[in-house]
Amino acid sequence: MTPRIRFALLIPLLAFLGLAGCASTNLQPVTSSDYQPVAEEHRIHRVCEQEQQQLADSEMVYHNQKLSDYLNRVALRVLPDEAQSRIAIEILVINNPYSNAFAYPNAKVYVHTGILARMENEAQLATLLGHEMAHVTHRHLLRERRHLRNKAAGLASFKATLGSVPLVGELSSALGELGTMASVSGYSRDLETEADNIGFEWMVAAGYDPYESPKLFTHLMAEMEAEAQAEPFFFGSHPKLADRQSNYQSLLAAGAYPRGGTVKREIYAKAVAPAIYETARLDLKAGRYAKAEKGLKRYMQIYPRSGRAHYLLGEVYRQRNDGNDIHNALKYLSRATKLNRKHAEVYRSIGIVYMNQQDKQAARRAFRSYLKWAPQAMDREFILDYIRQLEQE
Amino acid sequence: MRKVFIGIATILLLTGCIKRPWNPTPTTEHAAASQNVRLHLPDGWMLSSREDILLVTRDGVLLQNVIVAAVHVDEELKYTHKRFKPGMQPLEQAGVILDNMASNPNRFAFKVQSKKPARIAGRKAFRTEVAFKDKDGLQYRGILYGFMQNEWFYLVRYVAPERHYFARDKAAFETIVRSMRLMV
Repeated sequence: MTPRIRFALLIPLLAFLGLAGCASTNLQPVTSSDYQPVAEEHRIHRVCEQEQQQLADSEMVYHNQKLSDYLNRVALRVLPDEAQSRIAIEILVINNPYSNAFAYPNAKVYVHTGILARMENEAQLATLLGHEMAHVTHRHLLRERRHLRNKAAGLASFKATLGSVPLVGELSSALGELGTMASVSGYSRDLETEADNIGFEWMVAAGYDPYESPKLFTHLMAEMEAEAQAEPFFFGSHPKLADRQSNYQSLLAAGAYPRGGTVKREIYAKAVAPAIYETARLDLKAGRYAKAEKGLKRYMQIYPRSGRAHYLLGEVYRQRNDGNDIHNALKYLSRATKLNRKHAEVYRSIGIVYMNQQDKQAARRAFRSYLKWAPQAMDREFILDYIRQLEQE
Repeated sequence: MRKVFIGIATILLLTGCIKRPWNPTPTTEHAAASQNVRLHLPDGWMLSSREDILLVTRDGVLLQNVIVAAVHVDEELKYTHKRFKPGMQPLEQAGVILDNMASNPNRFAFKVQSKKPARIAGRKAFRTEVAFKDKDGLQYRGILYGFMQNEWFYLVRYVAPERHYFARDKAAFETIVRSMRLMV
């Protein structure tokens, strides 16, 4: 084949591919009367189901019926009726302390406990859910895949980039390809902006206060700056949050929105309290003491008589052991025993504090209380050993 | 040209200029200077040439692996900001290393099954058993021993899939632990 003939064949081929590419990324949203699902979408949904099964098998999904009911109620308030008649939206929670939320194209939206714990009110939740559900209704994953397929190099660089981000290599293997795309890298700037616009329109139509939308992203950015912590996900990325904040501020500026929409701060805090507690527990394990402390204090504003929160806050101070921490540890641990005198672990922590302070009598008393309330404790032999040491010394 | 490269690589391998990633475990006591330990490794297993940890396996690291690591108190752990501190009691040492394992984002349904005092090389130590799942839902089990000497925390860990492998190679792991001595 001469170069001239090859070139002649190439022109119609490129034209065909170009047209196919343009046509394929121009898909009607599910809210449109012209909406028609395509065969490729069914295949994508099957992959989604496999990835979701994997998430369920790995036990990443956090089960709390009251919390699930609340999140789904808010989602249905935001999602327009025409979309609800065509897709069955479902909000699920992932037990992960990092800030994130992502949507699969088969209408399953996953929200991390970490972002639930950081948001301030229901209007902010409506903003987040509106953004994620717009990705579903406007078929962003299919559009992005078709776009990337037309740019094979783009797909290759997407995977290479993910591998180089700390923690993401491991997380992406757990989430699967579609989940990683939705949760880590996000979509193209145009599609993310479209999700901002549509989600905003919906939350305003549902009666929520639009002035809370940009505040969500300002607040998330401020939290991350205060914690001086880089996070691997889309809603933990400073540039992506800055984009969202700027978009929502532009949307607010473009319309004359009255103040006084629904905010629901207290109802939100009470509904997501289990996620606040769970995130604080995971933060403590990961040694993020300041975050755990903040989360637990917020939880205790909702449940001021929670023994388990007092215990965990006492543990934050005991384990950090910095400045006035031990004094605070004893204060909260002691209060925890008053709120629930049978909470065995509290006495163990008190015993360790006193043992380190060489207060042998108080340490022995605390360790004995621990074994009284948890006679079959896994670490019983350690505690008996401590008591023996304290008696010998 | 390709033959020349293969020839050079073979010469380098034979002269020991290139380290092979895996070698059969030695039949005599093994001294791992980077970890400051001497120990007997089971016959027929493979020893990794990694310097940062001592790593051995029989059928492949996904099927069973034993690691020995020495962690300095100033060293950051991979998944938790918690640190070991000189003078820490074994129960607290166990807490730090277990929280590090539990915070690994690729391990799910992490559970501590037992926590008991132990002795390694004459030192007070802990022994703990754990269970967790990987991203595919495959169930793993592990045993961890740990102790501190001055500013160093020593970890000896065995991990294998619960089905078939964990029970099969557990005894070999316990033999490794019993043989362990510190060099200095």
